[in-house]
Amino acid sequence: MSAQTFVRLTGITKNFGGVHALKGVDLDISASEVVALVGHNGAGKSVLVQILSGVFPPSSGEIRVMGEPVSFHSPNDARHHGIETIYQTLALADNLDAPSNFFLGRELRTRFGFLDKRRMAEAAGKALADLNPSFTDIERPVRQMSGGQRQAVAIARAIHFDVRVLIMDEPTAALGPHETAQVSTLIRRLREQGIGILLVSHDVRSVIDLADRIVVLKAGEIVGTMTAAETDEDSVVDMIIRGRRREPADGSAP
Amino acid sequence: MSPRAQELFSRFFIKPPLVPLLILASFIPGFWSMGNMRILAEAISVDGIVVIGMTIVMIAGGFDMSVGAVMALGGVAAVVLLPHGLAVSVLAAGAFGALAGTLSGTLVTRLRINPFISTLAVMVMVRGAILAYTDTRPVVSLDDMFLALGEGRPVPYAFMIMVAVAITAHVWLNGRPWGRHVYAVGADETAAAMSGLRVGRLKLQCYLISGALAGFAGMLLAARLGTGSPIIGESTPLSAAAAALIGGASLRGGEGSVGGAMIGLVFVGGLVNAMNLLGVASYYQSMVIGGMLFALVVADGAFLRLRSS
Ligand SMILES: Nc1ncnc2c1ncn2[C@@H]1O[C@H](COP(=O)(O)OP(=O)(O)OP(=O)(O)O)[C@@H](O)[C@H]1O
Ligand SMILES: [Mg+2]
Repeated sequence: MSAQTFVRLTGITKNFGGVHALKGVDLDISASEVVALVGHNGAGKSVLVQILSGVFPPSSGEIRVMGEPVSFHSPNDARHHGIETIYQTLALADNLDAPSNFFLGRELRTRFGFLDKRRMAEAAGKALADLNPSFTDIERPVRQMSGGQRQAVAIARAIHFDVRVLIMDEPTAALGPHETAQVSTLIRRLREQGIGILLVSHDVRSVIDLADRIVVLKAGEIVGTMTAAETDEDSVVDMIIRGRRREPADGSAP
Repeated sequence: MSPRAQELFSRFFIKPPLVPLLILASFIPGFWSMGNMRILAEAISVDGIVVIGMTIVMIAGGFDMSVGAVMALGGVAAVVLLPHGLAVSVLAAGAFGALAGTLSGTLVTRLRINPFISTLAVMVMVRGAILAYTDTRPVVSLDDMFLALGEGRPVPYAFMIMVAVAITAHVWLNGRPWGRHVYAVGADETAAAMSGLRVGRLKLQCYLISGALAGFAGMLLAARLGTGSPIIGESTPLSAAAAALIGGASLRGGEGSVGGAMIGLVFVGGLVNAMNLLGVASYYQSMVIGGMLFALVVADGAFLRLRSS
């Protein structure tokens, strides 16, 4: 592969007490590449996402960013390496307004260290309008917003900052068909800008057009990797359900 | 009425009915006298400093049962350390309080023990320690400077200090990134952690602040009374929680404000003062405050159910 490998996961495992959520996962994400991670409920997709975004460390295994081994102690460490995440749960503070959520943990400050509320509202307003021009009333608690608006806040804040790898865990779960199409357009645009995208979903149909590669996770293991252009919905669904081992035709390097 | 005006009306007339209370209290002879206003100001200024700490902890999704015992600790520590100078005594009261708060915060964040249980344990430990140290007897101070700190005319120093602390806390909660983080942690710890906030450290800081303020308030009370008593502050956690809840805080966290808590403080303080003037015995007063707290907690829960459905 000629594109630069941004992130490489090797032998990632994760145990929660007796639960083996991940059992040795290898995964690469390169520049201008959309990798779809699919699998049943409980397959371990969100756990993998949270490891890659620094929410918790793996039980074992290695994460490399731009070839360098890294260990993330918090989501901020991952963000410093250009890894931004849209979580399945969105990770918004319901009592705060959109600008506060947008900049949560990296607020704009005045010279004296106070919140620069005006600049924050302007920047967040602009970023959200880019995503959805009809989304204007942003200075109210996000708990009062619709599912789609909340999702827009989560998406906007992930792509606003310097991002190399964008992780999207079920980004269209709360969206209608129109907004879902918008997100697809956004993903294509980001891909063209050279960003690597990990797109998590259990909806095969929605990702097969968008993805370059499709990785199937089942019970904490990768059971197959397919080139999106060379496969179809049925084969992917088949793999999700039956968990057939990697086909020789895939031929990815160990 | 504009939404803003509606909110202000509600804040002063309905939740809590502060203005109606003050109007009713006008029928009590002497309520608005200078002397009684001073008594009221003295009473609410010490409690008010505690309420501010409690409010911060509650916004962060916690609770601090230990504030009363820590007040007693601050008062006793201040009096005992007076021979080393007033500055040492004042600082020590805050420092001992901060230490107790750090202990509570550690239990909550590191050992993940429920805040009520953690701070209840700290409350019992602190109370036990000062009862043992003082042999259950109050410690008396005759230091002029210290006693002067409990004075202040026409406005008590303690009242001015409380106002200064309230303004500082308000500005920090609303104007600093730190304040946003406290609100975020209180609303949703997991979301806050996923957003890169250091949840444990933030919560610990809130308990530390609450402890320091309680210790400091206890010092001011000791200065006013001329004694550090090991037994004061038994009902303080509950009346402080009542003021914070009246002011919009919630046991679920993420809600509340210093301004609201101050209105709650004046309401609770005014009610107690009125009952004192009417000669209501203290155990009936306890029943009134306890009943009010009960109603507040029920209302808090009902409101939450409404919101989540
Ligand atoms: N914080 C946690 N503590 C304990 N167990 C967990 C935790 N997070 C996930 N698990 C377990 O790990 C397994 C994988 O969960 P995960 O959330 O990754 O599934 P998923 O593939 O994202 O499913 P979905 O499609 O429903 O989002 C499940 O058995 C889950 O119960
Ligand atoms: Mg998931």
